[in-house]
Amino acid sequence: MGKNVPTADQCVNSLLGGGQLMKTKCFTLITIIITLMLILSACQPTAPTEPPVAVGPTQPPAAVDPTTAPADDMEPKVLKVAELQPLSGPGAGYGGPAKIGYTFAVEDINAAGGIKVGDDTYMLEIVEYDTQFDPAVSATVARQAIYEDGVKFMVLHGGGPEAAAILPLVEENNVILFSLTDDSGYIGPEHPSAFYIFMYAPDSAALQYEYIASTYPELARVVGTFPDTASGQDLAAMWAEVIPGFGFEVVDTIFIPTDTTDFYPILTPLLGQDVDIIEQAGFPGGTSGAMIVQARELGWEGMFTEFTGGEFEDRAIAAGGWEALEGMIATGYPAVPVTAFGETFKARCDEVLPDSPVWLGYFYDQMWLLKLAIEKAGSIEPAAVLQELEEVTFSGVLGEDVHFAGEEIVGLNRLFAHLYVVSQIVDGEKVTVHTAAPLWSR
Amino acid sequence: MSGVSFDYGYTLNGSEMTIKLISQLIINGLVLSLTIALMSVGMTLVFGILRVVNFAHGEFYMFGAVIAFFAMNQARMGYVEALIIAVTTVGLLGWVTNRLIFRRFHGKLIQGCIAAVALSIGFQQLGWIVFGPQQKILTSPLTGSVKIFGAIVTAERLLLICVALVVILGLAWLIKYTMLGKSMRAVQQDSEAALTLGISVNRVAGITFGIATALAALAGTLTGTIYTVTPAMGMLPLTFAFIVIIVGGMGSVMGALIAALIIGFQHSLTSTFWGPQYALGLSLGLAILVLILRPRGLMGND
Repeated sequence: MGKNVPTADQCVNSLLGGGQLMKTKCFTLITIIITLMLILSACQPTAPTEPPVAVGPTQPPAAVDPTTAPADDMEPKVLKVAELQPLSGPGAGYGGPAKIGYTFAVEDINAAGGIKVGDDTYMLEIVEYDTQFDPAVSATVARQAIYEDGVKFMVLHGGGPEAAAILPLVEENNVILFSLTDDSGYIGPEHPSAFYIFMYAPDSAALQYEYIASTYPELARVVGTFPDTASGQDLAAMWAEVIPGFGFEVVDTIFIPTDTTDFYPILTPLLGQDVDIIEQAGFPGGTSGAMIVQARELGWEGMFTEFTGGEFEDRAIAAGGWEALEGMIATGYPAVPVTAFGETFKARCDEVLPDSPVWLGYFYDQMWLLKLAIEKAGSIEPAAVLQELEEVTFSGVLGEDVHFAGEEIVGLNRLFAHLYVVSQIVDGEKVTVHTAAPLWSR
Repeated sequence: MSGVSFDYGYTLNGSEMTIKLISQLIINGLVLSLTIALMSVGMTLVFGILRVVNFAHGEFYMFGAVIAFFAMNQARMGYVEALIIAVTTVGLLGWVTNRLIFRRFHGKLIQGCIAAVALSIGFQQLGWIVFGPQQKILTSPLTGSVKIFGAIVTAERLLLICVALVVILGLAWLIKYTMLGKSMRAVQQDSEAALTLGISVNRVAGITFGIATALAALAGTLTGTIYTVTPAMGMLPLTFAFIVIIVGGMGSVMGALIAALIIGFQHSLTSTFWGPQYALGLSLGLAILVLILRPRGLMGND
């Protein structure tokens, strides 16, 4: 600090009776600071003084053309959607790629003129929050999103513990939540503002084992491996209930910590038990790929399956090639696009992330369903939008008729209805071997 | 698809446990033990000599694998060249880290811990940015496997076992018989007395930190061909290293090796017979038991 610059104490002392020169300096300093503060505060953006006017329901667009330019010249408003996802930590493998899906959705929706609500036009803006796959962090960032950033629509990329942590906040503040948690504890009449935007695991499991039973009748003994997490426990319990109905025997259920890298000690005992299938539900592709390659090293030649998704690329990378995956079956969302639009979308995603997963489509289609519901409601108020989310349909990445359904299963139409696909690696290629609508809509 | 065609010759839940199973269990335990040992000996040296608990040690392990991955996939180097580059670079990085940061905290346990935690978080975030979240694998220069008493050992695992044993025993020899090793022990026992004898404590500390981080990088590069490479890959080995240091005793290389064998086999056998979800908990239980019954560990100094 320079010799001539007064310290705070000196300023106070001088004001309380110090020299006249010092008083003048301090007053000048304070005047400058106050002036600067006034100027800065005048530059702060102000909140809208009037809330958006809710108008009557509007007709949904007959056809969605993402290339349409904005129709009016009015200054658009901004509608924030919170994306809570793991961008760091062990779950970052999910959160990072998911960004691509909703980023394209927002780009397309805004390029198509945004969201029309009466005379207002809203441009979508994504606000990202890193949950680190941690319930406590999820709650903290959800609070920030709701109270500081004022969001009314939220997407959570997380499991049951994360959903449990933020649901009370969401419900207390009438926020609509799109989550990846299909447990009945978080979806249904008791939680009407929560929507599930992924495939429904019990349906996917049933579809997969129905297919295997009919195509490979010689396979009967199955070992289930699941992440040692709350979601993994839920998946295992559901799986163990579903598969005996198709004639399969559950030999063992193993819970594996998510940071496991050496699977030899886990796989060694399975080799002597005549196991036909190892189910790998709920693991990141890389973990699953490492498990496959180590099982093959040990000489196990049975079938690997996964009913929680049709993703193969991450597995292939972690397994050092496609050969190790030969014969593997994965069920749920499509491993390859099932619509022409889906093919275009995947090509766009591939430019950003080579061999991008098709599940990015969930975040694309969900964002469009939200746009259509808001426009149909004629309001951005969650209470009005909630009703319309049950009505709108969208022809997107995951099928021609993507919508929310499942009242028969969970009591409200909160499940994401799309085409379910059984995929298999045949001669090093991903092949769609079976498709079906969700069981509830058959 | 015809189910299991590989006859392993035993039924785990019955009474028949053949030599094949026992051999496989020994190999499984040995691979895990030696991976942990490579991590732990470096950490225990750093603590013994610098009195710094390096929470960022797992990130040096990760850096080894990541640098080798980029050397192989971007610079098109072979595995051996990539391994040398990775180990050297991380060793130098360790030396620089000590010079810039940890040298200020020698003997200051709390301050050193806080600096190490901050560094660990920063390094891991750097890993996420540079490497991305996707799990990848280092392409091994070796293929195939051998059978030892019926147990299957892949070439990569065999390489890890051999290299780790040679390096750890070599390090123990270096510490016991060379001038550098004697200087390290002198600094460990009494750094002020060592200074009066003309030993440059800062130089010894820098070399120690460099060796420790190079060993972590070696472990990361060797396991990168067996497991997968991710920015978070150092977290579990770091946990193991802490357990091993507690059980083996702070500052003891042989203690770390013995404790790594105990913890590695315990973890492997628990995963096989009881379930992987219990393995780490039991390891931690062992560490707590040692803290209660023998706080200085198996071979640590008081």
